[in-house]
Amino acid sequence: MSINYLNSMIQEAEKIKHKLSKAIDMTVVNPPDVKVGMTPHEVVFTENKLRLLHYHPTQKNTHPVPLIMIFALINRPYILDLKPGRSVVEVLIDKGIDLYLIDWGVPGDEDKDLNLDHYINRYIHKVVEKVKKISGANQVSILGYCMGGTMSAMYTSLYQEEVKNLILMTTGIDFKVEGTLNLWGDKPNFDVDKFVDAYGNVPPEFLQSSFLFMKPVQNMVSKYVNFYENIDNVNFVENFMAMEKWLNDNIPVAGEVFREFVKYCYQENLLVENRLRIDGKLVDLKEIKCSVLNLIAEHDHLTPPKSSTIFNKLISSEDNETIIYPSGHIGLSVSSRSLRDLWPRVADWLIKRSKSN
Amino acid sequence: MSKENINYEEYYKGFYKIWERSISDALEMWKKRPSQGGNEAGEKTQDFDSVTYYKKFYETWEKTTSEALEKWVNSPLFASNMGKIIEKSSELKKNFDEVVEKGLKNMNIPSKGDIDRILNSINKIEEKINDLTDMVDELKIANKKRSRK
Repeated sequence: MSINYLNSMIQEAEKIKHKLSKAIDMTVVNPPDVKVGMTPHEVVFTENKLRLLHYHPTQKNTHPVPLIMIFALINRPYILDLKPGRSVVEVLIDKGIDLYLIDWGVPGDEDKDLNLDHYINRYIHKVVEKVKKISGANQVSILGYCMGGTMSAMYTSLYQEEVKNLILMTTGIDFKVEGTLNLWGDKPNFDVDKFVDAYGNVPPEFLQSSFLFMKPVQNMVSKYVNFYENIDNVNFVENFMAMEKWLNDNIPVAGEVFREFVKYCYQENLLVENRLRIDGKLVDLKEIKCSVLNLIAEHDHLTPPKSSTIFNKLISSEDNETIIYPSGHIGLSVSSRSLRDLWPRVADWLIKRSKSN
Repeated sequence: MSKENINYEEYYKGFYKIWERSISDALEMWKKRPSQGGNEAGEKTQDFDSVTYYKKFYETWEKTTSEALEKWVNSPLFASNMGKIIEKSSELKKNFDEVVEKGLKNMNIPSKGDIDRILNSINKIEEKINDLTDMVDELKIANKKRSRK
């Protein structure tokens, strides 16, 4: 073994020592206080755990039709406002959009009976009424993300007269296409009744481990190797820590709404078959006639693109558009490329359709 | 695919083959590395960058192992087995909770369920207050309009 080889090994060991001690310091000894959801806002309505946030406008004049962002019931909505410079919220308000966001909060055990009817006919409808009242608008625009998108589509079908524009983002509509969650949630594999009857609300650890297992090597090995490789890159580390905070900030899901969502969507695919009823009323996607923009992530492993593309064919809207963007499920809202290229385009689409109300 | 249609033996064989290939690919790559700086006679052959080779070894392992594991978690076999584990753990939890609930009831101590029911009633009252507040606001606006006329 040559001296050169030994020297290079010693130098490499020194580098590894430096990087490892830095990694331990940043993640265990002195973890940074990562601030998320920093865009100035005020809470304009609360009910139970729900909070409605209204973002302070950054432009002198805002467009007349307000936009409500409806996030999934899984995880926290601040992924849409992760940190300054990496925020969908920032892009939209800088374009002059009057922006509201529903923060569903953390359901307690006492909320286990909240069902789709309550979330759609009570919470979303109440929020729409509030926003109309505050803004003075006759209609609102809605942007629904993931499960929040599916619920937004249901709401728009039932209350078309309230919605001027609908934007869906990585939204599952057809749950019988090939996909990991579609397989795991299907009837022969998952007894959702037994699960919800036993647990009440869906424990956050259950959802977290399910997501980790979808891409086990990427989520449990590669991600941390990548972090180690980039530990001297301040920008990378800041973004990594903010993302980690969000990924590990899991919340329970109200049991009844989870039971209904899994049964009606994943197991029976009622939305596509036009058989879904909420509080006795048929959720007919053909009732949707407003302008629709369907945002799909090309490499989405949670909502396969085929699960979303069908939506535009099931509605009556003449003004409908689909954008398939080369990113993953989360990348669509946090990647620097999508914030630079996609979201200004989305804002322009919306502004064009928010002139009169 | 229903549980009855799954050919477990074939699935296990398939996963073993993918896993075996992933490990042998990584090992083959490792074997092909150049000499570590010198031959047996102590003569220098070529510079050996061990870090680059460890990285390549890791990358090969990462690629093949992710493919193998993702294929596995996307199989009906995995989904069905995971479903069974969840089903059994749900039954266990339900039975345990029922025993605890009965025990507390016998001792006249309020259970978690009792507290949840009270909190649920408070939530319903809050909803009614919100509705009433909205109604009062609407009445005020209507009154103002009427008095202006």
